[in-house]
Amino acid sequence: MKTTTIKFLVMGLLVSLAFTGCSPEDDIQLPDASKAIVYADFLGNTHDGDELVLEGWTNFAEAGDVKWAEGIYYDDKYVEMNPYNSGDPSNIAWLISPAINMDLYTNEILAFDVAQAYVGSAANSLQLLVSTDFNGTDVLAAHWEPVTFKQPPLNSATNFDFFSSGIIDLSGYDGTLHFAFKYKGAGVTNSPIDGTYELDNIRFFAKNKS
Amino acid sequence: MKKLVISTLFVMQVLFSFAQTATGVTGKVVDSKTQKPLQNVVASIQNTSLTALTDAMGVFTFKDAPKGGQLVQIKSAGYKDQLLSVDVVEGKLLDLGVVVLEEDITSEQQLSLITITENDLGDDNSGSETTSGLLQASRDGFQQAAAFNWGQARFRVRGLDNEYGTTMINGVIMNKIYDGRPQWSNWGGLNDATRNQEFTSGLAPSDYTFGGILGTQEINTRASIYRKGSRLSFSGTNTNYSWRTMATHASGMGTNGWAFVVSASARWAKEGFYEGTDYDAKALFASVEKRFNRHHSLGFTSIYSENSRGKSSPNTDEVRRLAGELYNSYWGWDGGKKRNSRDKDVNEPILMLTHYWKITDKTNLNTSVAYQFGKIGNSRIDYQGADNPDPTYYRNLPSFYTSTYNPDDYTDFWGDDPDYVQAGIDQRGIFLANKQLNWDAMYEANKARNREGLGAAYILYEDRTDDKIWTANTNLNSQLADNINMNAGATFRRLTSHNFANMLDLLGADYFLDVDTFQAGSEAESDLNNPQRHINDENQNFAYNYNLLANTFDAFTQFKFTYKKIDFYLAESFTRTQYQREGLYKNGLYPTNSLGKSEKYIYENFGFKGGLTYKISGKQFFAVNSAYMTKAPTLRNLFPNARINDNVVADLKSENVTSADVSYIIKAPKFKSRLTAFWSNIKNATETSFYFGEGIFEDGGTGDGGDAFVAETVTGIEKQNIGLELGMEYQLTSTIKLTLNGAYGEYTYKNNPNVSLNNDDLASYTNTNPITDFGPASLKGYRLSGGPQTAASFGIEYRDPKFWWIGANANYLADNYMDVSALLRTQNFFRNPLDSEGLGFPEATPERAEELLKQEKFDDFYLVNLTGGKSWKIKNTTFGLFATINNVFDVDYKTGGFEQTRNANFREVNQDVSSGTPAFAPKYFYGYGRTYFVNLYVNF
Repeated sequence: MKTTTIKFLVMGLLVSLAFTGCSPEDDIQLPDASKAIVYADFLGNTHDGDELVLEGWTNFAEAGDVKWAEGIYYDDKYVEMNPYNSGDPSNIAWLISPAINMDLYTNEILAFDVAQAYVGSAANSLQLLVSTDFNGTDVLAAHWEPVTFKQPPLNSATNFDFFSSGIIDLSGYDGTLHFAFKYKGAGVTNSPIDGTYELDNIRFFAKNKS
Repeated sequence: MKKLVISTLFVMQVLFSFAQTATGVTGKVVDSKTQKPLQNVVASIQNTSLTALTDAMGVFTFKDAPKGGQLVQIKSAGYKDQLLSVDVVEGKLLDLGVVVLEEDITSEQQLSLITITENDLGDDNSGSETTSGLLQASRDGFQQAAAFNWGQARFRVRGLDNEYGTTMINGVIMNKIYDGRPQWSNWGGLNDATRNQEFTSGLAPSDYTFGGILGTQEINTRASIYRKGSRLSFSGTNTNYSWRTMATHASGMGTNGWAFVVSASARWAKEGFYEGTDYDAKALFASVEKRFNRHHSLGFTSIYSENSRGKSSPNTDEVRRLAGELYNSYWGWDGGKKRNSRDKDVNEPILMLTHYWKITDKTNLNTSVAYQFGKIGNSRIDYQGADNPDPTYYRNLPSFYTSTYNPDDYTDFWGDDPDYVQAGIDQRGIFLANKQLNWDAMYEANKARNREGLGAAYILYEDRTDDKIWTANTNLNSQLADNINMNAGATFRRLTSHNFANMLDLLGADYFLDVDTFQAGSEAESDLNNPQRHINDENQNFAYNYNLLANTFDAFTQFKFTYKKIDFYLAESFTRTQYQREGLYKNGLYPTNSLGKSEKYIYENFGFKGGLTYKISGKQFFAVNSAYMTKAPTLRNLFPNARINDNVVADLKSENVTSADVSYIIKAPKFKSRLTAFWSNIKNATETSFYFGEGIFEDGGTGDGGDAFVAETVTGIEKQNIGLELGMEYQLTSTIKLTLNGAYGEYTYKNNPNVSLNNDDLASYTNTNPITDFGPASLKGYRLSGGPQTAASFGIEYRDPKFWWIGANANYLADNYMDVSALLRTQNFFRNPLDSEGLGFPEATPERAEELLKQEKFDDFYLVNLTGGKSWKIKNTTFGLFATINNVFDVDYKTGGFEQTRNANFREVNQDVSSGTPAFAPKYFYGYGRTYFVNLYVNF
């Protein structure tokens, strides 16, 4: 009788422990952080005005000779498109992101900082476009869809001041996505559309699909 | 020492009519050493309510005992219990002859224990304290192991903080209303005078209070219960003090009805275990009792204790590696003396008047009125517009250079560049040459300020708390029937707690300008009614000044039922708590909510508990206890920023505390064992802390990267403590005893509590409560900090009949965890403060975050402790020697540590850690190396 009682009690205690036996550390669930899928802060720029060459990115001039270029102003590093005095009657320049496999992620968002200088009209534009059928080489063969973002104010008082694009929700796209910045302007002398656009901190964040 | 259990006895005692032919047991109890009869020793027959006291001849008699095999227990404070197996025969009075009681060596151990409980390394009277102080009077083998063997490693019974225990003197609760914890220094050093203690573990019923879930400790200072005699002792140790001397005299109850006890002690050290930790404590105790008649006695107790000690710093691994294990950054040479900048001074005398009313033989009513007053001061250096004088300030250490990154490019590690490496090497030399506080440089800086007519650059001040607390307490104890005992009590407490910064030393400056130099204009003023005030003398208050007012009322009732096979009890309590803050300064940041009285905050709380003991046999027991109670938040947590405003934590709720335990107990003459499984759950707990954090807030264009000095409040914490306790004690032979004790626990956070920060920089006329909500912290599954969660001990003790004994204990301690920062585990950790949209860091990955936020588990370790003692009797005088050596093999071990929250986000933590020489690494507390304690005493 005595030993049975003891056995019973010990068993009971062991069972109760077994219930909680799995390590409490298994419960730890850190904040669900988005991770950076594409992140360009241009800290690798070495010479102001050099053509931007960035792994995975496509820097393409559709019209004219001017491409997106490295920008350095004191400690600030960014990318700029400036056709001033290029002599080109039309400058169209694309900066296209690396491919993003949207099927791996959820909650995809894009944000970037954008500045303008001497932009005076809607004809001198910066567009954000996305494509799910860009093959990585033939820009013009792909279908590009415009996406709106917060344009910087066209005001000479804020020339070269960066403004946030706001958070752009791209979670509606599937497949292989590229996003692109498309500059339109012209570099002939006294052109009214030879303004500069600058981009920095291009961030594409997403969460892993669970 | 007559009987601390006297009050219980009054209740449990059952009077028998004198029968001519008795069926019972009788015996005579004597002291093993003096062979003198012992009066007022408690004899009881197990599993009955039969109890008897020995008379002046040391004789006890049970005249109506149940026949058959019985266990007779003989107990007296200061002696080892005796458990005797007897066979009671009908119609016969069985004479046990002479029962010899041996002195209990744990009472000697208590004397050495106190050195550990006083060693609260934390900055405040914090949760890092062990539960040893509470447990010292326990007779339970497991709890003794917890107190004497594991206490030095900061083991806490059931992982619970002292605020879940109740410490009383004569029924008067000594836990502070501010943080719920007792201030052991109030009676420190008065070991002999506070020896009469009753301890109840966990939920077990106490006759004096409803209690918390950890247990209760009742110190009884009634003069008539002290054993008549005198005692002198002198001790040497190398813990936090070097020397202690104590003298105590008890008169015993005289024929004129008077009894008195006086005691005095002093403890001191020029330098304790750690460098620069001086110690100076003196204490006086007097208790007098006048017995008016059989029914009424009046007792008066006064306790005076002044305690001043220098603290030691928690150190990072880097600092310890550079400066050594005994290094303490808090002191520096001043005028040829080691001067500690962080002193703790406690001086809170207690006066207590107690009326003992024996209404009938079965009913007692004890009523006390107590007044406690005095001060607690914690000193530190403040500085204005000058460098931080802390030698271990991060800029003073090599890691400041070797952990550097390019501020403009987070990927660009500079720490391994030759220039930085060399700077680190140079800094190592500079630090080692300047590793103590430089008082002379502070005097010089102040002199330079004097020449320009400016205020002090450096001052020494103290954060003062001057409490005045009145307590009225009444406690009824009645044996309603043979089987039913009732306790009821009520306590009223009224606290006025005056808190202020007090100038201690201007360090040669002409004056100190009482403003907050981190603020500008009127916002910098500590007191708008005294703008630009010059503090030009010591003992003036400045910076902050307020009262905390509290009234608490609590009442409890408890019924205990005792039957042959089963004992059970039920208890319930009600508490009403009222808190209020009264500001005495009009603070520049909070002009509308700093001065004057705040609203009153009222909490009403209930508690219920019950338990039963099933007696499987006379030697085996099965016991269960359970409790549910709500607990008002402490004053500390209600007003997180009390120094400068009367804001309260929004919607602060009472804690919900649920607890249960199940035990199987064996009590046989040679073998004692207890196995307990326990569970407790605490909901709605709150934690508050202050620190300087970098990268917490959005940069806001000021270029400070979001740095700020903040008050953090974590609310809605749920904690669960679950585990097993095992205690075994086996008397191998009459001289050799073996003990085996073990504790296994899992003490964890059970939810993701909410974090909010108060940032004074955001305060304004329109924003009087600048709180930023950081949302939930992912703490669920992290371990609670505060001591090893696993412990085991094996002990062997030899007691020679010639009054000497020796014992050894081997201990294993494990599963002790870092105190983790809640803020680091909020979503904020992944937010880049420089990002215009609050997005994350490109380099952050969940995998790296998991590595960085993994809770550090401290190394397991083994401790071996030796104890021994001998006593001699020469005529009527007893001489005794008691010695312990703790941590014989001088094992180096961490007892605790905390993450510095100065780096508050992924990038900063990742850079700091990736550098290999982090500048903001965790700080650790360490256990003592090998220590000894030797006590010599004389009883006469």
